[in-house]
Amino acid sequence: MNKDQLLAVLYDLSLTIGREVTVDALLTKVVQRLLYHTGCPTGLVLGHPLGLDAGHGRVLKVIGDHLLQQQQGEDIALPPGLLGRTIRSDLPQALLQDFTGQPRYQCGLRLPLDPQHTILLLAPTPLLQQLPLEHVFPPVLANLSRAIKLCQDSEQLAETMQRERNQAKAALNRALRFNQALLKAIPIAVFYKDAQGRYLGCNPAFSRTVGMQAEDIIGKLPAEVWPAELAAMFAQKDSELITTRQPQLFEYMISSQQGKLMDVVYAKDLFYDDDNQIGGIIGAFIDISARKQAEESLRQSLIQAISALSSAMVHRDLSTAGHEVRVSDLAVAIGRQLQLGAEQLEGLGLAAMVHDIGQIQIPSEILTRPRRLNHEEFELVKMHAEAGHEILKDIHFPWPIADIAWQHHENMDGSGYPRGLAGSDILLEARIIHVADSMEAMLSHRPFRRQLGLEQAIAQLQQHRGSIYDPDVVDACLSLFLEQGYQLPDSKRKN
Amino acid sequence: MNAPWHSPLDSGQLEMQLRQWQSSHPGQQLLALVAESDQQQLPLLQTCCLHLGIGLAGGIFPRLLDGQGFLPGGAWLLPHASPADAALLGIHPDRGAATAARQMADQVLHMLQQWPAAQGKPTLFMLFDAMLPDIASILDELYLLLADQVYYGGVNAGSESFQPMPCLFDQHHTIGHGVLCLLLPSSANPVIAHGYAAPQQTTCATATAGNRIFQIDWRPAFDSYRQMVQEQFGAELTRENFYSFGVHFPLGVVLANQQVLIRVPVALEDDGSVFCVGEVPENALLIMLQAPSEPGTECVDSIVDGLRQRHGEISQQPLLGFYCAGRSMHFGPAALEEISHLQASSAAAPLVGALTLGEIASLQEWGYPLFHNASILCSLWRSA
Repeated sequence: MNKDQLLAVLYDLSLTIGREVTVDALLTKVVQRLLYHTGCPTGLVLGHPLGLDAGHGRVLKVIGDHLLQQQQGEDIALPPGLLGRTIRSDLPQALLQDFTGQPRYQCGLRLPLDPQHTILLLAPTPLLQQLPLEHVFPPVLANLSRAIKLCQDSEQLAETMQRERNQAKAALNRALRFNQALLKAIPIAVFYKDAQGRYLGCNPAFSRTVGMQAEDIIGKLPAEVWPAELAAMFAQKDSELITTRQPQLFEYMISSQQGKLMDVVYAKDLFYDDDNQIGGIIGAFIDISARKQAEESLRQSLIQAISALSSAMVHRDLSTAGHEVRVSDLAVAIGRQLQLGAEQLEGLGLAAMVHDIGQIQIPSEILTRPRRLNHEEFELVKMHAEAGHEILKDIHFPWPIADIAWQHHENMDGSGYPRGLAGSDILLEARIIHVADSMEAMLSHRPFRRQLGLEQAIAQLQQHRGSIYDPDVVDACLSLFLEQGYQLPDSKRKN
Repeated sequence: MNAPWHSPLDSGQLEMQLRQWQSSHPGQQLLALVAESDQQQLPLLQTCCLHLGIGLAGGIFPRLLDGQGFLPGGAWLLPHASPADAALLGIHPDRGAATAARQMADQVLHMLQQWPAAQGKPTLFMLFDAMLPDIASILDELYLLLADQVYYGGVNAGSESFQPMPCLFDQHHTIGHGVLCLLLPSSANPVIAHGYAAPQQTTCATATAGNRIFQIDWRPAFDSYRQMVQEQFGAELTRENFYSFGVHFPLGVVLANQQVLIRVPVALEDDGSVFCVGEVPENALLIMLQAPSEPGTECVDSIVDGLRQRHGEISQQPLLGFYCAGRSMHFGPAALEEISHLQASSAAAPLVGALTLGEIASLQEWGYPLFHNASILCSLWRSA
């Protein structure tokens, strides 16, 4: 064998040593290649941590002898002379028989890697007698020794990393289980979906609301889960959320695919992935149908209570019967002209129905007296605004009805009563009722005077526009009467 | 009659011949070596064996041979009394050598349980489809699993054109991309030799992957071959004539024990790489050999000597001989002289065999199974 050929063998062995990362794979490949190159039938690797004088060692790897393979991983006796510092290709047959228990191995090649590891190649015929083994192999064996150490370190590192990975995985699983239990337990419907709107998961409350099993929801788009109109709204809201990145909270009435309607409060926000990119949308909604129904029921009760109070007023002063209804009608018409919202209009109408409730404390003889009131009597009448506030203030309305009743005789210039409030310190509803109240009074008969005509009434409003009355409210009122042909409800009948 | 016999696979005679043989040797099985030229007759052989309840296993080979040379066709039928049925296994191309070896080892371990201890250690005789790209790796893995529980021998079946074809069979099936495993007596443990010497001046294959060689001497493999063929034969190398020239410039892995494993390049790939039957070990440096111009007698003599050392007198015994198709192509008519010399020096009665596309044997009587090319592989054939 010339140098080139020998180099080819060493090249093969060197590359084999360099490419494995576990001890078992390294020893398997190296022994395989040694058997391949030598023609030996059997090779084994012994580990002897106590050094080259050890009487015992561990069989780390055996290839080619199925009887010896049964001892792989076990501690066995190492006969004296088997281990040594030098490469030796003439291990005596008796020594080999003592070691293997088999007579068929006539020749043995000892390749010491380091004080703790030795390779033995066993054969029935002499081995590699032509090769200067003691010169050729030591660098390769030293390299193998270092590779074993590297593999051991690598395995240790991999083991540590695996342990840490397992711990992290266990912690993650615990967190996941907790989250799943939490989601399952809470009665609020919760869902999460990817940035494209495709559902990634949901809790049982969401499934129940939608009327579909979670596995049928996951992977679907809102259009496949909700009615078309709702799905479009959700898509619009999702798009806004992704654009603005601001959490959303809104009320909406939803219906499931099965048509069940419910009022809900919807909350949505984004969640982010490890790169701080939008991972998707998480949302929840609470069914507030029961609360809504209770609110509606309360509202109806209040309306009924106000109607009852208003009726009581009618019985006190038949000359002003229908005043509250007419003022309420005109006030709401003015409010609508001023483009108030439905909620505010409702409060305005109810406040107008009870704005004079304080008159209940004023003797009915004064209220119905067929002459102009004297100063003392008028001072008594003026107390009705405060008295109304006292009556109404302890009733919980969704609107400031007690304050409106208190302020409905306040003037813009502060000349009104009972507190002399001015300008924007007076509630808009009070300013509207003030105008409506005056207009209705001027257009109605009183025991002490006949009704004024519309022209006179309008002139009065115009005269006091800005001083007594809110100019915007006056303009709205005039527009109603002059441009839109508005008539007070009872006026139609009376006139 | 229990010696191997050659059958022309004649539809009028085959069943009667088999019936006669079966009546005198009930329970025995047949190993069949079928000539590629008569592969269309294989279903007839399978049907007859199935009908008669004869266990059949075998392969299709480029050509059959006997002591006088090559036979025009037909099949060699070799009776044997193995207590275990042959295992015909398909090998999944994507699952790797370790999986294939595990599959084979499972079958062989099962067969070993049926092998009588009195018969000694058996020979695992394997017929591989030559188109498998990782036979050497499969053998490496197989030795890890079976170790010295068997002797190892085998050959590659298939078409000399290296076109894929179903070339392995039992009485039921014919498959490609697989292996056939038989347990035979220890006498079937083969002796192998090729007689190619390693040159003093070496030219190395410097980039290999599996059974493909990309570079030779730091140049694209095809360029190196083209130059050599030009210098040696004055001919232009093409894809079509590559095999006929490549056999003269085989590649070899030189082992530390000075043995050389031959790899015959058989085809040129589109990317200019060279395809061999039997892969090159991952880290091996291949050297380029120049095949000897004459076969000489040394190769055959060493085989016959090896057989005599193991078995004593071998004359007048059936001898199973496989001759590499690439070797035959390289030596041309001289291959027939080598076969005649094998017949003469062994005094085989008869010499039966085939041209093969790869050979498997250990370099010693027992030990590591290696994949070879360009070799002659021989074993005694004892039916029981």
